[in-house]
Amino acid sequence: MTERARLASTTVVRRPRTTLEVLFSPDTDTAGALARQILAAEAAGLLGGALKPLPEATRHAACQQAAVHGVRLLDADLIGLVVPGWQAHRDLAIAARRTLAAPGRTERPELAEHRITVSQQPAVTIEAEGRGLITVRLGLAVDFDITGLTAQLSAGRLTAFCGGRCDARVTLVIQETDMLTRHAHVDLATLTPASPGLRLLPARAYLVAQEIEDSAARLTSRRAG
Amino acid sequence: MVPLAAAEPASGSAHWTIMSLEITLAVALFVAGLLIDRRASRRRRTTGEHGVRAIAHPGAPITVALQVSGAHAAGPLAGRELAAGPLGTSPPGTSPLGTELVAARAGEAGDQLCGGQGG
Repeated sequence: MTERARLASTTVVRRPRTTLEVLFSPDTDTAGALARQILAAEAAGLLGGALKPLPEATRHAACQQAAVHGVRLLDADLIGLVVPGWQAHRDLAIAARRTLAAPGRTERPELAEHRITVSQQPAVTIEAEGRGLITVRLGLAVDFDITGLTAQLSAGRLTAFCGGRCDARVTLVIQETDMLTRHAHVDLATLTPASPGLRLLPARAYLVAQEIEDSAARLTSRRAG
Repeated sequence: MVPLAAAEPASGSAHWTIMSLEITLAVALFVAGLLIDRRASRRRRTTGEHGVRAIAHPGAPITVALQVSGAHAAGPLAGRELAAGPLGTSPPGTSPLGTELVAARAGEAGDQLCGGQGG
């Protein structure tokens, strides 16, 4: 994301699972909270006064509708955002290939401090009486700072973590302006499925490994027969 | 001209014909009313309570960049943001200034998450 203006406030959230749980606490009406942010953007003039001609109730309804769609567009599992970064991590990819090539083998590479940056820029168009009033450009910027982490891999999959720390900073952006920034400690161990684990290699690598394993099993059974 | 009082009352079968026509008409009106109401409520749902509606645009795929700190993590590439691009890695030993910087699309990995936690 390019340089953005800033209206953001900062808070720390504990043990979230999704991006919107970081931004708005889990027991909050997420759509309502996002609608308030869109209204705040409108009040700050970020929407160019496009909603000004509407009566107040209609303006609120428009922001609420935009927020309902925005929630669907912006909410994502934190672990689902981190995994593509790890798939590109050289040490993890090499260890994953070794464990995939040798079934039963487990590796525990220590990961150097790294940062995974995720950005997403959906939009919502608000229409009134069939006329498009404005397209609200939403955005989400997430930074994961990961330190002192030891990963456990087997069969090309990430199955567990030992130690380490992952801090996430999630920023809600509306019309290129930071509206809300929240920090959270992400518990990677809780979010990682132990079985079958997270795939770190392209799907084809697992297919090839499976084919090799199957043909080896056929050979063994033929010899035994 | 025949005075009303002198008009013959309708016969039994004619009376029942008129009654059934009235009932049919009442049912037809009731069904038409129901249909009109359903269409109106559907329109209300699509356009919202105040005649407003919102259309979602998912936009470009999520972009993901990885930056691994090394001996010279503060090099010129550190912190640079990459545009969306295919998944790639720096070849071993060729990371610029000790910093590995690659980009991937999150959507590509979304379907690769498997199983439930601890399952």
